[in-house]
Amino acid sequence: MKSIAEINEKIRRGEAVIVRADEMPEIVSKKGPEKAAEKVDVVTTGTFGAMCSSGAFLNLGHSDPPIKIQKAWLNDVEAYAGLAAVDLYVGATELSTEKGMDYGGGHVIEDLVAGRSVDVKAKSYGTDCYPAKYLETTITLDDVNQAMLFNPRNNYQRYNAAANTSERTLYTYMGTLLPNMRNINYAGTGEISPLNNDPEYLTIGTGTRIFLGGAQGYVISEGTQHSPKTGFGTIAVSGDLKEMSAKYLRGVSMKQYGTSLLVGIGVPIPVLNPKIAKCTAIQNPDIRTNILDYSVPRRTRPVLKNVSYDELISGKVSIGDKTVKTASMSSFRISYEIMEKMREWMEAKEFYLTEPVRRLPRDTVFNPMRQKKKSTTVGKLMSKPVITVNVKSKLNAVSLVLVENNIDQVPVIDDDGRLVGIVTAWDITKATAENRRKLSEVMTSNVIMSKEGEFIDEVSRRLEKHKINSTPIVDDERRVIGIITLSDINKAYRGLNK
Amino acid sequence: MKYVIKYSPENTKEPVLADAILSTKVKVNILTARLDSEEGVMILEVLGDSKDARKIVSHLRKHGLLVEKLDGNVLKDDDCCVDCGLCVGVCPTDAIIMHDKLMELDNRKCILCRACVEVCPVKALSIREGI
Repeated sequence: MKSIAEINEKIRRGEAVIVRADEMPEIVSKKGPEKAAEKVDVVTTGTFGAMCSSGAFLNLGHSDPPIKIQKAWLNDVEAYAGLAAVDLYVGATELSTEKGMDYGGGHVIEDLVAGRSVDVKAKSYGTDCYPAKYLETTITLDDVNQAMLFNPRNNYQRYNAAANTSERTLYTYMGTLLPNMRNINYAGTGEISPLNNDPEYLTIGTGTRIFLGGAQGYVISEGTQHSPKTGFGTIAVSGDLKEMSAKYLRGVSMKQYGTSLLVGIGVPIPVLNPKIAKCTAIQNPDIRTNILDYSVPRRTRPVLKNVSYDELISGKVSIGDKTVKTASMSSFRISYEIMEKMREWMEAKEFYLTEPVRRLPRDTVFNPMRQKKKSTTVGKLMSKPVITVNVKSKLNAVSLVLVENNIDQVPVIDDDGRLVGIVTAWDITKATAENRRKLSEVMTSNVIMSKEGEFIDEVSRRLEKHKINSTPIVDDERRVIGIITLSDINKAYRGLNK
Repeated sequence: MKYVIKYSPENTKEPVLADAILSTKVKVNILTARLDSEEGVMILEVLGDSKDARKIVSHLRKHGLLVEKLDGNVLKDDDCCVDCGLCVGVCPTDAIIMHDKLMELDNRKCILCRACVEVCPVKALSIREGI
């Protein structure tokens, strides 16, 4: 009923009606989709959050003598150099070799955009045409020929929310998750999030002009992992970094996880017909997602609850008899600013809509990885049967068990065979010196244990975290069925890497 | 009312706080304490009116402790903060809330646990120097 060219003509004449996505539900409910589509020309959408699949291509220009860069570091953050001589790609999650998780590729991008200088180190093997082997210099964004923000996956339509039912704090890409489900972190901006307003990709396609990092950018294609059927659509975007603003591109450090880049994106949705008007009237109560339990470090995590964005944004969600605080990883303040900024641009006749040159796929699914060799479970590697001692045993009997079996620690069980502790040779030596005799007081009761179905990767991480060498494997009744050591796991890793 | 109390090596050996409680009969709640033989920081909540607070504070000061009202000790860099709200979820005392898309910090409720400082992805939060 309306074309993009007609809307652009209205923008040119200063007559276009532009509203924010959060204003649209009321307009559509009052006027109905037909009238709403007649009245409103453009709906602005916005989001501002951590988008890990982000990065920038930089062309440094040639040095004299020239170098074919083989390895490069920007402020000690490695940039990918497997391209032509002086093209680099710096990715948001690459960590600094010096500062670790406090500084990464996302921060390099922010520093460049903010006009700050960045140290460059590079090396090469040297060729007849590119003889230089080492290079050290300092650059600013003005010094590079091209700087293209190039993000293969941004702008997820929605995200799973995260909680943690285990007894220890988890540090994840979804932020810090407190033990015993004390917080829920969520991401995405719900009803104002761009892809939620055009879930059938009627207007967003290759070539759609968008707000990207404070400048005008473009949708290149669907993003990686694009899964529109399940409500998890994504887009790949690009734009000129030199025009962008550090207000909308911010480096971030997620505690004990790593770095990323906060990216500000806004997509204008042209209201071409009543169907699109209806799509843009979506509201937070209609957008649902799952709260997943991140204490299960597997590809498929258990769902704790299915909730709406309305509940997540309210600040509290009840799960069972518990009320849990929610916290957002995306900035609603800046997302609203982005929607307003786009309206200002259009009103100032600085931003026009584009006709997409290719529609994005609506039927792709996100498949799991094809793994030639699957990781092993500890159940397959554990030693069994396990030597154990009864908690009522005398200390000299326990010593004898350790000596006879040439081991330095042994799990302690009760009369029902349930694990109640672990005791080491050192514990016994210490107890003898201190004249203590009861095994239950000498042993460690808080045992780090594992289950047979767990992958060696999870268990190896657990051993590392607690700085221990072995863990008993128990069944659901806490009965000891095996034991696994770090060297068992390392042996298995060597097998997998062959 | 909450107070930050700082011990120096000289007064870590004396039961200054216990003396203060016994002699003033003012009830206190210890919210956090980080103490070793060298020095320490404690956060006290005084249960009572402002007169009680004055009594116990002056006792503690007389015995060489550094006492400061716990107010304005978590600093927020407004230019740096993006108002995401990740800090809200880890705050144990609801000293941080989201209000109309903005993060709001109520230093009176803060117990200086540093959880917010640690999780802030843009490092917009810090504890005032000397605390």
